Amino acid sequence: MIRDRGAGPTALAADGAELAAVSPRLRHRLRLDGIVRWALLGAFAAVFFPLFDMIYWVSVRAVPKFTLATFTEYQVGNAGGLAAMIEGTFVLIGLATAFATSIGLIAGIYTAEYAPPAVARIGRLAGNVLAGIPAIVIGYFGYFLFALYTGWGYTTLGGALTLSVLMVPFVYRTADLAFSSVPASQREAALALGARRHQYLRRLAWPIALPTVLTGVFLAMAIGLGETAPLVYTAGWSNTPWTGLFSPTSFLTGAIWLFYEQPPTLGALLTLAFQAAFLLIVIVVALNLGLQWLADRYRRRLRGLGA
Amino acid sequence: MDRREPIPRPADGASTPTPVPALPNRRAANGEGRSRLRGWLASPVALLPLGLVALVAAVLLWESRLANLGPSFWGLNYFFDPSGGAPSVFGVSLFLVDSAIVAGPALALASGLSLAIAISTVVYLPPAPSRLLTLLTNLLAGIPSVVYGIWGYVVLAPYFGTTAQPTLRGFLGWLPGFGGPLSAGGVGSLLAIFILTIMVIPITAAVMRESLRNVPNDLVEAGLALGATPWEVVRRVRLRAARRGLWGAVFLGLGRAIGESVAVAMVIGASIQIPPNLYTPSTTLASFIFYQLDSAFFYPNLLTALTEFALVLLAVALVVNLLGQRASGADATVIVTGGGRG
Amino acid sequence: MSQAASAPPPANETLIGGTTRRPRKSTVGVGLAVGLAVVLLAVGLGGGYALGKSLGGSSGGTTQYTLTETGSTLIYPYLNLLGPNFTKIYPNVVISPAGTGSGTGISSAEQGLVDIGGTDAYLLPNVAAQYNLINVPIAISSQLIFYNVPGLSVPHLNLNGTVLAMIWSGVITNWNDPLIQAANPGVSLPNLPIVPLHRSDGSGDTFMFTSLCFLSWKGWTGGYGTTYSWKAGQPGYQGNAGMVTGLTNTRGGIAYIGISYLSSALAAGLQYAALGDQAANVNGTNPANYILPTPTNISEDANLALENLQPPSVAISLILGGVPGATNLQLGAGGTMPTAQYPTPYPDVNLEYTLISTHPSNPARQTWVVTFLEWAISSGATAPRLSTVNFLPLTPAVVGYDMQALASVPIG
Repeated sequence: MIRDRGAGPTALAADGAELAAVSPRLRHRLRLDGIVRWALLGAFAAVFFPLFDMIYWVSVRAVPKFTLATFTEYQVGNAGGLAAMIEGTFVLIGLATAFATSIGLIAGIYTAEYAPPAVARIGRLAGNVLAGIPAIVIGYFGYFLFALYTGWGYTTLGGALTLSVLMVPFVYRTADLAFSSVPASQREAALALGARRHQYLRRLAWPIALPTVLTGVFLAMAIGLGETAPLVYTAGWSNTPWTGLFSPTSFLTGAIWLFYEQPPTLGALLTLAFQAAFLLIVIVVALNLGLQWLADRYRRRLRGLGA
Repeated sequence: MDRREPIPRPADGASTPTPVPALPNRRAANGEGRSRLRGWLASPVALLPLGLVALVAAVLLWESRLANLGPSFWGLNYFFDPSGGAPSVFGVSLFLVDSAIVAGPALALASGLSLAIAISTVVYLPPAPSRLLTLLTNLLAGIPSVVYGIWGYVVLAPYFGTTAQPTLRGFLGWLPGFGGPLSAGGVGSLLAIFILTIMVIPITAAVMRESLRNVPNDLVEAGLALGATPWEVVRRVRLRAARRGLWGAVFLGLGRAIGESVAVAMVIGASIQIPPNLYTPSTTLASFIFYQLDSAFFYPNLLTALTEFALVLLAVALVVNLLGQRASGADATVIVTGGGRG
Repeated sequence: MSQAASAPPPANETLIGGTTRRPRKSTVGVGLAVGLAVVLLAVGLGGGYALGKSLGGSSGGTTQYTLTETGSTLIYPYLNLLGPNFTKIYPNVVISPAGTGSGTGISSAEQGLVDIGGTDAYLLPNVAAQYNLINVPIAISSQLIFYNVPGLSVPHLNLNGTVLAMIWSGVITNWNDPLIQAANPGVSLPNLPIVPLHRSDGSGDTFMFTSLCFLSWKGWTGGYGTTYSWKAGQPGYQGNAGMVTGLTNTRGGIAYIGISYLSSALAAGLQYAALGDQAANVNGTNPANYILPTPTNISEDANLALENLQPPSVAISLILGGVPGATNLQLGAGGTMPTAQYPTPYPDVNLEYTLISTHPSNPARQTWVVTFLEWAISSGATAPRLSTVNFLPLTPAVVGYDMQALASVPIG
């Protein structure tokens, strides 16, 4: 990447202030450049101050009250721990990731490798459309389809399926992107040497595409973790240990949504809401770091392949 | 995030290196006929996402039964008498206008800040801090909206009520929309705009960053070689060359802003009106169908109306997102690879 | 279509570094391994756990029952108090409530999605019959009108239904309005605009409050229900907790808040009003017609409405002690005005309902639902549990009705 700094008059100004002294107009331009640079950096402050304020505020309410019981105990009446919500989030995200990855990955590979151009174009468009559907709309859909039509009621499976509809496009689009971006030279070399399509896919394209696919899966998991609206009317709620795919379950975002409304006389629930928020922030940070890390590896790898 | 192959490939089986960019699929060695057959057999799999979109639309269409599609449905009036004493009027345009009033300023703010962030990361900052700050910006996208919601209504609302609103009115009260009554408790359009701005920034910033980065180096180098300062190159070269992509970013941000339900529901003050100024409570289409859903279970005709609203929201989000993707070449998955695929 | 299509290969960084560096195989490998491990761990553990739990669910000696409830956020903490204590007596039964809202409680019960639907508003008897449901009240709750008006000389303002309806209709807009002054002789009212707050979510509290306004003032338009077309510009808040927060921040504000939030609203420095009975709605100047929401006064209202009810039904609004002749509103024909027996009935009172099926798909399971509710309205309804959420025990008449209704549910 060519950075604009380090070239042009700025570089001269760094060691040659006398040059600027020669021309007042140049000096003015350089000063403007400096002002702009700092002004632009100010935007970061404007964005990150709220972020840090929020994290600080949630931490203050949550961290001092963390105990082992917060993680190991189930909710008993108006007290207890977050075990049921952690368990439920775990199951929901695990299942939804499994669904979304299977559908998204297969559809992505087929779009990139097999589908005729017209079909691929429609598939991609549909993937983008799906990614843009507001979560609450998916929530309505999930309630009708998985709670009512199936007759299941509020179930873990219904929640996970609804969630996976939101997550599919992220896996699908990245899988498609990953397989489409395998350098043509590699592909041609493999096919020229007599490799069958599935051999090429398995031995050559898959290892190259995997990191991108993984970033997509991570992103999908992060998206799924943060959703509330689609789960409230599909997964239901439960404060007992999780009992099966066809029983309702609780989840961390739901704990915030449900408990922040409770009267402060039942303060233990409010604390649980903030602790759930804190846990979610921690998980999201971890997922983001992992995602970024994978993206970095991927970039280096592509560079190495001379793409 | 252009899906086209950046590198030209030989055409099917031919030895000539003529690039055929119109053939993004990978038909090559196995024989044209069989490959084509396999291609069409593969189509249903490749069209799974389309199937999901169709399923969502079909279920909503069925449940809404398009029961309220009269002229009043597209009007600016909303009136629902739960006890059935008076005929109800479900005007979806009122909510569309409200959504626009909240999303518009949020988007203007987010676009400005995102542009500044994008220019800083692409042009001014060294790679390491640039990457760190990009990571932090992306982090904003991952925070669950319900967390923004609680923070907004417990921490920010009192501050907006006592300080932010009066200050803003003090400085800009002479402008239309900035004067007039304040929202005493702090909840209202302004707070929703603030929260939405933060939620939109990671998307707009990522797309803008990519657009600025994709400006051809020849142009940038030419500018620098002519003795332009970095800022002059940004202003006269990069911003102009990337204009399309920047507009695309704005539309993708708009898609996120109008679709947000939970966080907005918690801070907007939920008053069904076109707000007379920036401070007063208002509503949005997405938040309305979220916070009214419980009541809708009570009143079947309200549920069909809200499902129709959900369909309208689906259509609007679809158009806005497609426009954004069209212009920028990016899509909603941008944050994954927007970290700097270069 | 996109810019890059017309531009040279976009990978600036890639081009510069590309030809010289070799792939860092080891880091790539490590990165992939860790990434894959995380995803596989999540998917595998989540899925495996799911499978294991599904398969192993039915093992064990006595059958375990988890009775699900969803609905009113007001009932939620109360059921949370009852649940663990019921499990102490019957270890094979766990109560799992969810606070989602009264509308969800009713619809979920109608669709058979849960064992118990919780709601602050009764289900109309004909609708209940259609879905084979019965209303089973489990406690008495009430609603308070809180306001944020600093510097008043009295602890409780006198407000009546007519005044409240006028305030939320935008007819009365200032605290020093003559009608408010008339109800509060001798109180110096400030010249302060009134900001009426409402619930943005679907809410049984909204149902009660709009019923009160509807019954109190002829000028009230828009009916009553869990949602309402409020006057433009009035701020709405999410949940009762949101109302307390919002009112605390709103000088001159007034809000209807469920009694469970009494202590948090008082802690926030808010005050609540004495509400007028039906006489006060007609002529609001007599302070004797204004009643505070004490436990005694709330019970009186419930008794007044329920004791003389013909035919026996608990699908009744207890607003104003019931209203005579208002059959189209399903308001019953209970009390009218304060009587010698019940001289001070607080007007804004309701029953907290549970809805259960009379045609259960699993009678053995329904046995426990019925057992739980029978316990919940008798020995389970202890004073400490009720007072934690400021609920009151059911009157004997309602308990009798409940027991009779529960006895009619077919169980295995």
